[in-house]
Formats: sequence, C-alpha cells, structure tokens
Amino acid sequence: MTRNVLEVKELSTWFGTEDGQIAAVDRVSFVLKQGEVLSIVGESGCGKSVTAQSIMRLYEENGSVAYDGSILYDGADLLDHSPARMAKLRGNDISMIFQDPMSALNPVFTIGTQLTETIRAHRNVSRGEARRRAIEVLNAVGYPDPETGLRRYPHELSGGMRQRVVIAIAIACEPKILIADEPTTALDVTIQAQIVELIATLAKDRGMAVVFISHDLGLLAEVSHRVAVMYLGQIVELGTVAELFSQPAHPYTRGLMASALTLTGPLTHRLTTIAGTVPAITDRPTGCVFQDRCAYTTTQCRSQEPSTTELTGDHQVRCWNHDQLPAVLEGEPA
Amino acid sequence: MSTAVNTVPPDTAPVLEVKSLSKHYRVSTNGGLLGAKRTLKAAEDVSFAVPRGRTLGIVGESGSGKSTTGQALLRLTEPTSGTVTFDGQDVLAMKGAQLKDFRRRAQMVFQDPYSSLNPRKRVGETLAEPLAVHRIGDRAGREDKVMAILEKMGLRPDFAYRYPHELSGGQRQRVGLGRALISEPELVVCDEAVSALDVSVQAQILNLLSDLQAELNLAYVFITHDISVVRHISNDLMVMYLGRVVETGPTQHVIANPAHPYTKALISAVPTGNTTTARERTVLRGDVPSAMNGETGCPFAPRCPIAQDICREQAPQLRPLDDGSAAACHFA
Repeated sequence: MTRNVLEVKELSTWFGTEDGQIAAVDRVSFVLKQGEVLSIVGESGCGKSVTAQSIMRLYEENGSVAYDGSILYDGADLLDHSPARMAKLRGNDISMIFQDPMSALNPVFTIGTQLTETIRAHRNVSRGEARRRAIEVLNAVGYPDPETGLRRYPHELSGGMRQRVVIAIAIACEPKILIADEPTTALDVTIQAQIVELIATLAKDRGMAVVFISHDLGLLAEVSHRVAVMYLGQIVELGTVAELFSQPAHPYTRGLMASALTLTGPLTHRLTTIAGTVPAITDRPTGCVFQDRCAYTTTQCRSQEPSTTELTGDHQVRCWNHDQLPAVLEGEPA
Repeated sequence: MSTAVNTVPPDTAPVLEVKSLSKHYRVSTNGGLLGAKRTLKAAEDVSFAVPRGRTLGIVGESGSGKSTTGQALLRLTEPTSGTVTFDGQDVLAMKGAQLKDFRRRAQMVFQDPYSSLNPRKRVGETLAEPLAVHRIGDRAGREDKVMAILEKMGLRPDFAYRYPHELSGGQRQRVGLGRALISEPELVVCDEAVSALDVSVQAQILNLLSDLQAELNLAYVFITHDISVVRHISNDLMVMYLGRVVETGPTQHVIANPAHPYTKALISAVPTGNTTTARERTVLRGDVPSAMNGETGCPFAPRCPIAQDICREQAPQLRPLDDGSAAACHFA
C-alpha cells in the first residue's frame, strides 16, 4: 500500500509488582501504514490500552516500568527519545483520544482555551491565528457554531459534543498518527455511529494513520483496514478485516466473533460463550496464553509457546493448531 | 424449599402491570436555587404488562426514561402518577409489611457490579443480607441457602469468603444476581445488567439469566441501551425516547419491521460487522435533547429524518398497528 509511519518491533512493557516483573505487553510487533485504520481488539485486561499508552510513552521509565523492543517513527526509535523530545511529539506527531471525554477535558477552562493552548504549545503562532485554527478544526469535527463553542465549558456540552472537542484537540496540529482508545464506549449508540464515521472520514481526508482500540468487533469491522487481536498482552492474530472475518484462524478470535450479539445472525436459544474469563496477567501460563479457555488445547499448547505463522500476505496467527480447526464457523461469522 | 413461584399454576394474567406511569421532576431552568422551576418529564404515560416467565426489554439512550421507569415501578423513586399492579395488588398503595413483602418479591440488578457491592462485606455476607432483612430461615438455614445460590450462579463455595475486589466483573455480576434471587423473587428488574461486561462474559450472564427464568418462572424487565442484547433475551420490546414510549411489540417482529423512525435509527446504529456490503445507515443528527424541551409536537421531530410540519405541531399518540405492535408516529 503506502509507506509505514510506525513500526512496532517486539515491544514489551514491564511493570514491577509484588509478584515480580510482569509484561503487560509481551513482544508485540506490527506496522502502521499511512492513512490506515488499524484496530486492536480484545477483552479487558488484554493489554490493548497499555500498548497504545506505551507508543505514547505515557508510562515514564523508572524503577517499576521498563520497555523493551523498539517503536520506529520518522527514522528514530521513540524509546530512545528524551522525555522533552517525547513531549514535543505528543499532540503534534502522535495524538491520543480516550474513552471518557469528560475526564479528558479540564472542567475549569473553556473549549477555546484548551484548543488554542494545544495549538500554541506546538506552533509558534499568534493568539488570533490560534483562534482561527481552533474554529477551523471545530468545523472539521462537525461542531455546530464553532465561534460560540469556543466560549463554552465542558459541562455545558453533551457527551457526543465533548468527544468531538477531544478529537478536535487531538487533530489540531495535524498529527501523522491518531490513537483512539475506546472513543465511543461512553457514548450512546446513535452518537457512537456519528463519532466512528467522523474518525474514519478524518483518517481518509487527512491521510492520518489511526490506531483504533475497541472491544467491539462489529464496530471496528466498519472502520478498520486491518485488525490485531490481543490476548494476555500478546497479538494472537493479525490480518485485514476481510481475512479476519472470513477466515478467523485463532480460537480466541472465533470465540469473540461467536459470542458477539448481532441483529442479523441466527437466533439461538443459548449464546456461544468463551469458557472462563481472562486470567490475571500475573497468572500467565507457560505455553500458549489462551490454553485454559481453548477447546482445542493439546499437550504442545501447554508446554510450548506458539510461534507466529504467516498465513497469507498480511494474515498471521499464533496458534499451534490453526490448520486443524473446523473449516467453517458454526452459524455466520459475527 | 417451597416457593410461591412453584405453586402458582402457569397463568396468562401478568405478574406486573404498569398503567400510565409518569415521573416528573421540578427543576430550575437557570441553574440557580431561586430560578423559575419547570417540569422535567423523565417518564410520561408509560404502560406495559409482563407475564410470569416472560421478559420485557426496554431500550433507549441516555435520558430516555428507561431507568426512571424501572425505579418507579419498584418504588425506588415515587411515581408522580399512574398505577403499578403486582400480582393483583396495588403497589403504590402498599405500606408496612405488605410493602416489605413486595420488596422481597420484586428485585433489581444494577449496571455496575463494582459499585453495587459493599467492598467491606464478604460475598457470603452480601448474599445473606436479604435473608436477614426479610427474616427468612435461621442462621444455619441461611448458610445453606447462600451455598445453594452460589452453586446456582456458577460460583465455587469458597467465593462466600471472598471480598468483591477479589472477583472479576463477571463474577461480581453473578453475585449481584445471586443477591437479587436469594429471596426467591417473582420479578427482577435488570438495569443495564450486562452493559459493563466483556462480550464473552456478557453471553455467559445472558445464558444464566435465561436458565434461571426457565427454572424459576421469573418475569424480567430488562433495561438496556443495546438493542442486540434485547433481541436475545426479550419476548417483548419497548422503545423509549425522551420519557415516552415510541414503539412496542413482539421483539423479533419490531426488529424485523420497525415502524418508528427512531427504532429504525437505533437498529441501523448497531454495527453489523459486515465488511463486504456498504449498508445504508441512518445516522441521526444531533444529540438527545432535554426532556424539558419539546412541549409541543413529537419529541423526536428535531432529529427525525422524515419529520413534517404536523410533527412539530402535534404530538403523535401511541396507536396499535395492524401487525400487533404499536408506534407513536404520524407516519407509522
């Protein structure tokens, strides 16, 4: 397709706990192409958010946090940057939006102040020029009447409008990469549809690469080009949306798809579930991370960690038995 | 264990009947203490019935009045007007022992399994509390009941000695459900009971709810913003918008043939996961307005893709359609 804007190689994020060092992100590798929407999906505690926050280096390396691997952006490794250089990149080259738009905005400053602050932090422009750009960017995110909007405080806005403002702040300096961490989870369904469309349109129009984190397979299928499925800190499957949905190769991906509720799939008396729950990251088993919840576990899965298998071009999976799974999913794919 | 549920023959009379239920709040319009007060109609003229062993799903966005309706019918908040009949008795007239008995027989499960459990109480104590409050059994008998309900919820016996922080979200929601069911209720109101859970766990809890319903002949009022959850759990569906019922009918029928434009938009907002065909989606403009606005005309008119002049002048009444459902739309 196009050039890679970000290359994550064997990234691990270690946290020091009472039980010793644990890797919340465990040797994760992927590339992000220009203008592409790459989704990361998985249940709570699978390391999706920690991966995103590690790319932004939101955890400062100190006694209890350590990174491993590399994150190549613009010819350099983000993990080698000084904190000051990283601070310059954040909001300018790489921006992030969070789940809860209320806690992402400062309640005691107006929307205008918060927008122009970001612009003036990264661009050497006058107040008037910053204000002009703030209005422009509010327009771009579909905020009605941006001139009045600048004078509003966050509490005066609805959830959907707040998230539009958060997105406006994130794209104000025209970043190359936008990381959206569950940007619609706190919003109503009809508002969720608006915000997802907005992010997809912005990515397309501005050639911005987006990392879209979600637990909702149905939702991300509509916006992403490629999807990475994470479980217990590892990427267990990665592929284009079409590959993943038509030929899911990992039992966890299949489980996620089968247990997702839809309005169109077959109506069965009993819903398909994945047995058990995501274990604590401190209880990561030897061998395959998914072994305790998998219906196809063999002795090899319990002793040996699956290697990454390339299936077709972009499609890769970490499962010893991926070629022995039943060929067709029961019922329709999610 | 003799329960009222098991001795009652299967009947068609609804265990719960709600008629013209309304809940209004007086709120100041300018935010001040002394400002002019206006009426916010959180729920307005809501009517429905739920038979034993059946589920009514109430769907709507924030501010639609679905939670207010659930709380008002249980008298967790006092309704402004209307009637609630539970097993032939007038709930709003209940007092003393009768009301307490109603509180045993009608239970609620809340959305957030983190904040709805007391962090200082072991799971066993939390589960035993309804038994103590309603003076059911003696100490030894209560312990047996706690162990029995844990098993029914799919939790190991040693969970009785754990604290909520030691449990996962799904396990906590099982405890919340167990606490609601231990007093052997006949009606359970589930307010977004699976919304905070991961997809695979959500499916587990929904399966558990269906099993319990079949076993105990429970009536459920299932409140959610997610119409795809309703599709899998409810017999009947009621869609609310700004405090009013906009459409109601048999769930599968309404989802297949939505009559109200808001129901259509809700259905089209659910991601299909279908990547091959670009589908036609009705993305609603704007937000849910406040329930104080829209005094005249249809409350949905400002966001409605097919609104005409009549919609802004005259509020449509909920009227039955030929196919057994009902909708409040001039053009349904």
